[in-house]
Amino acid sequence: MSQRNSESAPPDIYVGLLFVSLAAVITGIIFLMLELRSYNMLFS
Amino acid sequence: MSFVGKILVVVQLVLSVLFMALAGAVFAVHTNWKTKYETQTTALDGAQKDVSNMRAELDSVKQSSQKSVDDAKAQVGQLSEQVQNLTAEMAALRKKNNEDQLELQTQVALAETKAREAVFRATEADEQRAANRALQTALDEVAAKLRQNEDERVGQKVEYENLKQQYNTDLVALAYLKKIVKRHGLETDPKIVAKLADPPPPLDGLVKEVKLDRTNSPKFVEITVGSDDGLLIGHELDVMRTGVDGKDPQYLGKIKVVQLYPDGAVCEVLRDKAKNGIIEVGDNVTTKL
Repeated sequence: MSQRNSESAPPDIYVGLLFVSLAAVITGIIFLMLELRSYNMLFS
Repeated sequence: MSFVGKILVVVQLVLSVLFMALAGAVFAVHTNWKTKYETQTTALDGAQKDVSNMRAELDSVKQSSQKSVDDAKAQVGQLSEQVQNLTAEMAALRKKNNEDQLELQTQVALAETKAREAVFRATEADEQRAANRALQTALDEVAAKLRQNEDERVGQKVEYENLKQQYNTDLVALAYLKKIVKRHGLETDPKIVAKLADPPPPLDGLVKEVKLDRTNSPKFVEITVGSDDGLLIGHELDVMRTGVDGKDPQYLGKIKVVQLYPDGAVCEVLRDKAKNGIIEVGDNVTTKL
């Protein structure tokens, strides 16, 4: 399988979905950091 | 990309979106528990402070309450003693009240009796007032009559004094005249003088007793006739002795009445008129000679 993917394949819809999921994870992390900040448990 | 890789990508996407949504929801509807904790801590401190104050106040109140309770107990003791005293006093007062009630009933009955008596007395007083008015009127009349009699008495007293003075003057004159009359041997009693003018009534009697003088001759004789027979003091009677045993009658003399009784008299023997013999008991006296 890695042999088949060794060739550079053009980005498809799934790559876009991965970025979207990455953005969602980052957004969620930001929300949790803001929540922790209110308890002075972050960078304190 | 294989089919499994595609599915994993989709699953990852779904889970990432769910994670983002969950984190966003937590951030959106979160509650700041720290602030709430500090607020509650502050409130708790205040509440503990209040509790401390309340406990101090409670202790103070307890002490004051205990003191009040002690005072109340002491007062209860005093009041109990006072209640006992009052109970005894009340019993005594009840007894006295009963006695007073009996006394009151007695006095009420007595008062009713007195009231009836007062009504009766009032009626009697009215009657007595009417009688008193009548008596007062009679008294006024009697007083007027008394004053009139007093005036008359004073006049009569003056007249009596005058008469008394005249009487004394006449007594002096009478004594002087009596002295003159006696000096001439005449009777001074007017009654005797008036009756001596009449002769003694005819009567006969006996000598009842003879009193002799020192010479053994009769001085006084008591006879059996007196004032009932018409004799008066000063009358003279003859004494005689009838003849008995063949003797002749004998005239013995005259006697004069000096004391008089209803059924007898005492006579003095008139010596100058005594004739023969001595008068003895049983001799006859007569006025018929």
